[in-house]
Amino acid sequence: MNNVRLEIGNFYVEHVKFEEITKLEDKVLSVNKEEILALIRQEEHLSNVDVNLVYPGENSRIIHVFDIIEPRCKVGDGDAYGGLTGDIKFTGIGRTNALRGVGVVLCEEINIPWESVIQMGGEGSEFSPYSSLTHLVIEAQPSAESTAKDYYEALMSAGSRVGGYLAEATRELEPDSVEIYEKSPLDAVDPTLPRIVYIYLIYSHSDIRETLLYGSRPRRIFPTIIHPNEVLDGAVVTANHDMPAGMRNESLIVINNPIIKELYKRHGKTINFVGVILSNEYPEFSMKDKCAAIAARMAKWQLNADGVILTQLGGGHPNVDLMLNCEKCEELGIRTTIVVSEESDSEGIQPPLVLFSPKADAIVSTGNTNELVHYGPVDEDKVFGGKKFRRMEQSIADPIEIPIMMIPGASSQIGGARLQAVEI
Amino acid sequence: MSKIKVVHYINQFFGQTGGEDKADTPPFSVEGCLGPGVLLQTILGDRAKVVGTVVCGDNYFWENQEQAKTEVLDLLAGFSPDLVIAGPAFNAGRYGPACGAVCEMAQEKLGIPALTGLYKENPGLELYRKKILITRAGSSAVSMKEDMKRLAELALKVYAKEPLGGPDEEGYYAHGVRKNRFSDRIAAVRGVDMLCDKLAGRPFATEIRLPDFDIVKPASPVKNLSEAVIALVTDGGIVPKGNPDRIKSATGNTYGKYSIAKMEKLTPEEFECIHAGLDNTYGSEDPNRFLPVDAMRVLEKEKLFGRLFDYIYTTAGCTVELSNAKKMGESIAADLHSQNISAVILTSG
Repeated sequence: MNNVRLEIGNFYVEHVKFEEITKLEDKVLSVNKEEILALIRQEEHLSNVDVNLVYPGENSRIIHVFDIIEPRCKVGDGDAYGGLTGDIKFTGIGRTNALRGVGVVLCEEINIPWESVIQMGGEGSEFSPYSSLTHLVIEAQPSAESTAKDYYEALMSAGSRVGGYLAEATRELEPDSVEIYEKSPLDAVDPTLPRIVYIYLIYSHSDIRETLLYGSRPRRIFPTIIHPNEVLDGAVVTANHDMPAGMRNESLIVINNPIIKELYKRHGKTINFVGVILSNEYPEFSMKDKCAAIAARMAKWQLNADGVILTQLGGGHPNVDLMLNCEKCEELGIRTTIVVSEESDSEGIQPPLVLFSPKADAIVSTGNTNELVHYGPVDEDKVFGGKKFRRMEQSIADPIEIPIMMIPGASSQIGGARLQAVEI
Repeated sequence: MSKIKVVHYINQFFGQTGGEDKADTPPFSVEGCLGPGVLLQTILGDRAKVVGTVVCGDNYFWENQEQAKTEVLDLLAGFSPDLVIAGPAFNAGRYGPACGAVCEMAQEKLGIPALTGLYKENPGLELYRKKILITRAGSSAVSMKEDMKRLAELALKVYAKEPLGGPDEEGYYAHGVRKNRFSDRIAAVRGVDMLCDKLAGRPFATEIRLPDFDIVKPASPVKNLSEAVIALVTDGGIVPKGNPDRIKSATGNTYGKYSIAKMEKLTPEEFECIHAGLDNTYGSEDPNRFLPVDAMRVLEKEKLFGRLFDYIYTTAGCTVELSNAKKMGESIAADLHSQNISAVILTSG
């Protein structure tokens, strides 16, 4: 009997509105605004809270985007965001309900030195995959005595509270569809299918540049095997708070890791999706090198991988981890493919990565993050998340030129977007 | 309808002036075609007319730089061309880059299309491929006929603004410039597809290829450490408190030079860390973590080396464009050279 089975119940939402009673009916999500505000106000490190609904296709914009959370709840026991709370018991198994088509957006008001702008409609809106969702946008300021770390953690906590609250509307309902994720080493998979391992590089450096694993900080871990269901059910949470959007990777996409979903789709049919190895992108080179060697051995000696697919989180120095992991795997006879975002200049002339290995012969690009995109103007009263830009002269409703790096989701480092750079 | 006016640029050898002995020939022009220009006109047929040819000695071009360029440009402009074709220059090491420079000038200053043909190892290729269209050519004039045809045909296409096929199809070198577009599949799907193709031995095409990096030759070791003057340089973004010169935390192109004369160490009251690519807490708490003035002073007293230079150089090396990084490095190096610094300890953020 195979009890490593996760069911995700999908509830597709087509419209969201503020009403007296929170409920989901005929694909319309009604939400009690006061109850949401009360929930968020439970966070002592947040003050001046405001909440707005922002719809796709409108002449609107969300700025200072900090994170986007997918509303989820576990039917039965357990936390939908075990990665934040540390709840392990039911993460990766049982039934989790997800509201699709809705995002809980958190906007930050400390001076993180980047822009982070989602254009919801009009010119430039096609770059962020989030422009097609309806968003509940939460704006809050830090409380008087709060440090930056307190504030960020409070935002994450508020986001998961509100996400959980919204998803509660689905508890007694039948989902529109159910995704089943079931995988165990005891599966009878055709032995001639290629065995694929996903090496998922994460960024755990400091309190505000963190990837949480079951609520703990994996600063000094060695590579570890994690079940893909655990990732798809919230065990891993990115908390790279002061990074630009392109390196931050929103919670919504992290919990829907596209590499894992694609490998699962083909599991047992054209490949044997053997497993996932989580590995930290250490600050010091000696540990980068050591962990790459350990991860490659784990993939080969423990999981007997034929092929490895690699992704990174973060910017320049993780390219080193990526290339080291690629080399060590190839040296052990594992063929590798890398999915990575590029950091050339705005003209696309400078090299796209800071480090290359001659062994990295199969690379998929998620786009040049420094190429500029034109956002058309939006309605003055339809900009949410802040009152002025941090790096640009223009006022917040003006047309702007913005690099891909500062558009949430545009160059998804874990492969969730269609943007790519080609050589011309 | 008037024919397209083409001007052909060639060197002294193909211009029938002479060989190496005539490489310092100053630029001159003739009406119509000269040397391989005759072949060019035959290929162009009725579609275009080679109205003039500009000839310049390879040595003259490179030894006189701006002046030679101006002279050549004036001669080109004198024909009021619609299109400039240079070479092909095969593997010739000065002729190739000269063709590249001439085409770049014609494009920028005259606003007209300009193409040349080079062998894949010609140094002119890497210098100019991003700015102009360069067609493939063999390593010597043995393949003149087919190389000229490839060059001429593509030049006409470019002039007519026809959409071009890919580099392999049309016989030119990819610019090596990255340009975004939307794929039909998300990157995760493309990644798994590519891995499966690779494992099955099916052909696949990487989306990012290995670029050509500079190989920098390291300097020789310090001869006499006990007399050496050593300077500290960092890209960790350590600046005087308040960042008086407004050095940018990311994508910057300036550096600061600050006195540390008589300082035993850097203090958090006087310095701070402004690098946007890391948590500044540690650098601001103790700036010596990036610029180890404290440790250097100890070793200086112990006479391990001569003395610590009175100035530090600093910038924030976060998402800095390569070309700007190079310029800053060259500037700092020149400054250090002029002060007879023996060695640098370079730390990174």
